[in-house]
Amino acid sequence: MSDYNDHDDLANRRRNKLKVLRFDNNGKDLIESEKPEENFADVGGLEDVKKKIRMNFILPLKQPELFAAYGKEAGGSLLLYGPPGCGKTFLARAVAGEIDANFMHIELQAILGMYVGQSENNLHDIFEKARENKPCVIFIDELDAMGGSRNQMRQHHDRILVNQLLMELDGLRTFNDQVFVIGATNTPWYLDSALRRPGRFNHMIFVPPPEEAERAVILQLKLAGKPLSTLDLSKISRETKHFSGADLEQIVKDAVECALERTLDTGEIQPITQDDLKKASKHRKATTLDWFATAKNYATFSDVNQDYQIVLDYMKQNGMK
Amino acid sequence: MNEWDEEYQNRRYQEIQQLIEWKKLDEARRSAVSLIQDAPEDPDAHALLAHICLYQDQYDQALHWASEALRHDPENQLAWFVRSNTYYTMERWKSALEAITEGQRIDPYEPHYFFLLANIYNKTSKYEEARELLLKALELSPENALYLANLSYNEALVRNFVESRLLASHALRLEVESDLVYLYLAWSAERRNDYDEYLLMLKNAIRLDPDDQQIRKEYMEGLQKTYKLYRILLYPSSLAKRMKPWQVLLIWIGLWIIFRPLVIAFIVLYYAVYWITRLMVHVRIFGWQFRK
Repeated sequence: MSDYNDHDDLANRRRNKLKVLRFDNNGKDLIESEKPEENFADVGGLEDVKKKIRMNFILPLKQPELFAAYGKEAGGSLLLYGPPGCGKTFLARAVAGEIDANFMHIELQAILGMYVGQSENNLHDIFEKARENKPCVIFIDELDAMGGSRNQMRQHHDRILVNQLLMELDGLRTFNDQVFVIGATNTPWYLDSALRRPGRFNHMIFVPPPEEAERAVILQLKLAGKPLSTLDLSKISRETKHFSGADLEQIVKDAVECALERTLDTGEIQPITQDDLKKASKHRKATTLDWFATAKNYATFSDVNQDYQIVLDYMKQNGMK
Repeated sequence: MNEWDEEYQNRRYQEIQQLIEWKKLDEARRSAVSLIQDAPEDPDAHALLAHICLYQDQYDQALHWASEALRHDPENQLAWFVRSNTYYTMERWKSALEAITEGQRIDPYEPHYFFLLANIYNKTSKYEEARELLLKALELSPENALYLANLSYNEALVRNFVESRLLASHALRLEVESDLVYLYLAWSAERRNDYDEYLLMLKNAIRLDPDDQQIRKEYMEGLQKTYKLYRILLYPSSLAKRMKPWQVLLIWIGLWIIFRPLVIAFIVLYYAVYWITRLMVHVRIFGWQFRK
């Protein structure tokens, strides 16, 4: 039996046959695209998150007999939530890269299509397609758009879609043991509470902003292939506490702009300097802070089931007020 | 514009409306900007962007885009609606009244204008006028729980408590998932001195929208008012709210002359109780942590 990190021949052969299904640019039709190449090794840090995904998704699939002995079947659904730009989508792609399953990506545009004028994009068809192509991971990005609170929806057809999603998730439990659903949202508090009942999205996983070491790795990755002077990235990563991956990317972009300006002034290629990065990081504020402020309000005043206690604990540990 | 273009354009509007409903305001804003880029003369697109800016609490931007919409179409209903609401939210009452008047001229059947006007009148203690306006709003939209909740508050202000309670229960039969309805019902209950109901309504409001600063502030104050001593000390100020400013001033001068030591003792006691109860509420909610 291969370990989940090994890439044996059989796994490689199966991997080559994998498909990734996503919607076309108009959000109209499902199309095949190439399989994401990321796997867990590409996800820096987030060890607890990866461990939970391994326990709930990867190992039950790789070692079904072991989990069956404990009465646990492969399949189920996972909800990733956290501030924007912290790698929820990347993590879901990494899951697809990590397990031998097809990957179906439903983005906001496709969900929007289901609401506005395109009834042919029936949610049931997507789940049927997943069952045909099992093992399959359905990744629903911006899940709050599809599974928002039914009480707050004005239109009857909006409620129908949430009900349908609930039915499909229940169907997964009953009829299909090899279809996995991963939902991602920045605003879990808008989700219909019925979605969080057992058998549906009962595993809520908080994806926090990158830690200091991860920030250094992200900066390194974003700077790769660009002209650089000697850089002390650990220093920059220390100064960018609470920054998301997307924030760090923006810092690199700003620094590149500074270097480009100098290049245009001097007429010679100028490398990105420590000062460029430092200046760029000083001019930016961590965008995750707004998310944490909102999350704190929900966690403090509106968290009946203590779903967001982990966010409060994270904030306390990281000295956020 | 041919039929296909028109259908495509309509779909884009629907998509933006849907994004607004999902509170995905950044995405809605990007779509509205792209709509304007494709149709720079379209007043509806400008008005829609103005509306999104209002939702995002970017009032200057909202006013700017509403003006742009009105430059292309001086009678654009949504633009006047956004302009009225923006001035109202900014508490620029004179400009709000002007915008509402113009908005009502163009769109006389929009009940929300009556609601805004009623709120302005309530703020200036013109309760009878406010009541008339709310009744007009309810004529146009009889099942609107927010207007009913506001009318319940208005009835409580004029101490018509039985009617206020009836209206409150009617509002709750129609809507149980609106933070604003709960907020108005909380104010109404407070005016009726029904503090249990007041706190219950505030709890419901904050459960639905804990991110609203006004609701958080009201809730914390509501918790403070659960302490009886604080409520007793608040009684003179709630009495004063029902009087005209000159009456309040006269009574203060009278009390100051006759019972100076008692007045000083009352002020000291009031502030001491205010800060102690505030601290107790803070510790109850946040623990011994203090945020900026």
